[in-house]
Amino acid sequence: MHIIYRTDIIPGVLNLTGRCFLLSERKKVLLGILTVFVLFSVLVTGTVAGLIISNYDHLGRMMQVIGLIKTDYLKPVTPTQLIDGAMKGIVDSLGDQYSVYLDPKENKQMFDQIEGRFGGVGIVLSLKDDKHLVVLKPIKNSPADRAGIKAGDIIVKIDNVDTSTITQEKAVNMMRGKEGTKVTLTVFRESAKKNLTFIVTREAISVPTVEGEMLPGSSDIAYINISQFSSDTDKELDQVISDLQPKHPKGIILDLRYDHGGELNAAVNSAGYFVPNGQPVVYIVDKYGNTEVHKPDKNEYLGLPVVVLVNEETASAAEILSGAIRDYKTGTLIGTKTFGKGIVQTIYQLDGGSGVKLTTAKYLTPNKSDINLKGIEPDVKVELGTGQTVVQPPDSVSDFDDQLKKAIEVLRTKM
Amino acid sequence: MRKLSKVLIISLVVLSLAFNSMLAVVFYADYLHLGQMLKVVLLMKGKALKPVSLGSMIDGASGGMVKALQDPYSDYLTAEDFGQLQDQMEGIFGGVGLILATGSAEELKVQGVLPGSPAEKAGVKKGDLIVAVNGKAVSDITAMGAADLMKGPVGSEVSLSVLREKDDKHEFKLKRELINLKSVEGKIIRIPDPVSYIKINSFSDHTVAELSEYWNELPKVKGVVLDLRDDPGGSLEAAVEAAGYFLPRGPVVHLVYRNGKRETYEVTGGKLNVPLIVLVNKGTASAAEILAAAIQDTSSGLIIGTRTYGKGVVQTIYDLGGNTGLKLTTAKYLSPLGKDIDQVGIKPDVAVEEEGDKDTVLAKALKLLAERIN
Repeated sequence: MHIIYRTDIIPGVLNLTGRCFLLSERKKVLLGILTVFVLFSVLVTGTVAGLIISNYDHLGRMMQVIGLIKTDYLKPVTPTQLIDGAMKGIVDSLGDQYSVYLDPKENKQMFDQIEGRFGGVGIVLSLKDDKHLVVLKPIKNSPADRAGIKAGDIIVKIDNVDTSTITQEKAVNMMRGKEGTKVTLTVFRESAKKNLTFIVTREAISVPTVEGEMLPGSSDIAYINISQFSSDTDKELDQVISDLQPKHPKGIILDLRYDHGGELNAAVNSAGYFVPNGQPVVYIVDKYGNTEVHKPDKNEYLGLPVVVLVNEETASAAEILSGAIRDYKTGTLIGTKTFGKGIVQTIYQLDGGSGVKLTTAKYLTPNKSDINLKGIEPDVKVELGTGQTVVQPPDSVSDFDDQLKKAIEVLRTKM
Repeated sequence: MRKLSKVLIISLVVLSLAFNSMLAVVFYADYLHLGQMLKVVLLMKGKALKPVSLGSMIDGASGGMVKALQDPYSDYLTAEDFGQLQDQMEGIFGGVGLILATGSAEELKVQGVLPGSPAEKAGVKKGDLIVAVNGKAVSDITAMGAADLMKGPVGSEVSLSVLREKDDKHEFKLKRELINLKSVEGKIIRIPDPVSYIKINSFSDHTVAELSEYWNELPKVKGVVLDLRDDPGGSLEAAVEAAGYFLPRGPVVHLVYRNGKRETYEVTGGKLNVPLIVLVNKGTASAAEILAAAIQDTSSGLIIGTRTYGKGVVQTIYDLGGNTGLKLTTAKYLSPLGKDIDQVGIKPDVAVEEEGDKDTVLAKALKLLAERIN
């Protein structure tokens, strides 16, 4: 990077100074700049030469691989294709599952995901059953909803591919795609006892990440579920809370179960409702030990009794929020130990639309504890009852699971 | 002396300047994406939380380039993989005792379990669908790649994820043992004339020796059924030598390299003088397809069954030193008449579907053979 900087600056210096100097002085300046430039060049070349010599074995093998692919591999390969592959390989050499090179297509997908927007059919899958693709619900007014796909339908085929042979993640990717394109879904409907086939046109789907309601059967408890942190989650939370406030809740249940995290700033701003004003929510520490303190943008601490539901799938940004509430003792954590992802990724944009996502920092909770690979122990440990499933948000008292029941019980003692 | 050092210094400086301008151009213009790569290396060094040496980044780049070929058969081999592969070539390798059938490039099914093998002891069953080997999904590494992963040093472990029914997932951890699967099996079937049934399970260094045993019976039989179903291939040389038993004098296979260079394998042949029927299916691959295609092209026998797998490429293994290696697809093969079967497979002369437990294909073969004998 420095090389570019130097070549850039020379004409600039000459233009600025050229008129004021005598010829000999101008020559001196020129000579000086030239000397610095030459010294710099020699230094860079020397460093590169040193690196080459110290990695001679590795580089030699790489040159052999390039040579063999060029001469012996059956099909012709472009240099760009190889270098893109090399970049993927370089990032993979970290051995960190969260660090990846993103080609232009993957980079775009990543951003759509962070923004909570993508082309899809609008099906929310249930997490209850990891062997079947069970429709938890179609998003209201989405293509799937209008086509007539119903909650409880089991997706058995996507574009004629049997879903039992592919992972859930792959199935989700197959259903997503460019807006306007079509996907054929075959679902098994228990009530009809047969397979139904739907051809659905994908649309831009934006998934709500926050849902709130007054808890069924309790007119004084607000229930808020955050399913993930997209870049708009804090604004969605603002809306949900302002909708709930006229109902005068005396306590809040914040359900962060199955929240895998997402955007850091959204989590920090969301914490503003739950931790004392002006206090740090999280510390981000980079490889050199530099520490960044993150505080919410606004002072909006609610001061209400709060219980937070967490489980083994509460991860990353959701652990930042839970960790802050635990450390400031502004709420009680109920459920099971959280996932333990205490590292932060940064996405760097490269040229041509590609990017690289790297694990660049770890985070510490307000009490400076590192939860990576450890998770957060809840204040009150409660497992789900056998055969119980989590319904978020619960539609009626009959949907309440053991963790939620405990949360209500604990919250009542604090209200 | 002074003049020499002056020249040396000047040329060094000029070289440095040239090198730097080159770097600058590469970086700015992103020549061949090299600028991006430089940025990635700098970010990894400067920003990534976990320290990583330049050496491992370079090795990572080598592996990444091979992956970029998107060829399921090409692979950058680290010390561990390479050692394993060398053992396999020397014949010291273990397996789990599964007979596998490849339905398609993404489907790997257990066709049979060898009695007393690690797979049988662990409870793997006929009909199980293998979805992952050592955590790698079959859909990502192809059925053939997954089958290769099951082989390894005797005593080492391999993990399998298996789908039994639609949602009945099983995980197995198996210790590889030395598997004595005969390359060739055979018997005499009377229809009522005696015919020889020869099944080649795979092509190895033992194939030809084992085949010649059954050949001694030939004067007594009136026809031959050659069963190449679920034969995943193996050694090219063994397939060519085996072809010598079934083909007339002439070419068996042409290898075509990147630069257009051709290499033709020929046999003296002419050993068979009774009718021949060859059984093939979706699991007939690679070296087995070479044999089947040669028989079809030379009209030496009738091919019946279903379309074959379609692996028409050959790999070479290079030793890169430092215990690493490179497995690279370097040639494709063409049948004697110049047909390329890669990703196409061989269309049988008579299509017969396999049905359930009854061997309808063999029954049809014996019927056709009887017609030809009379």
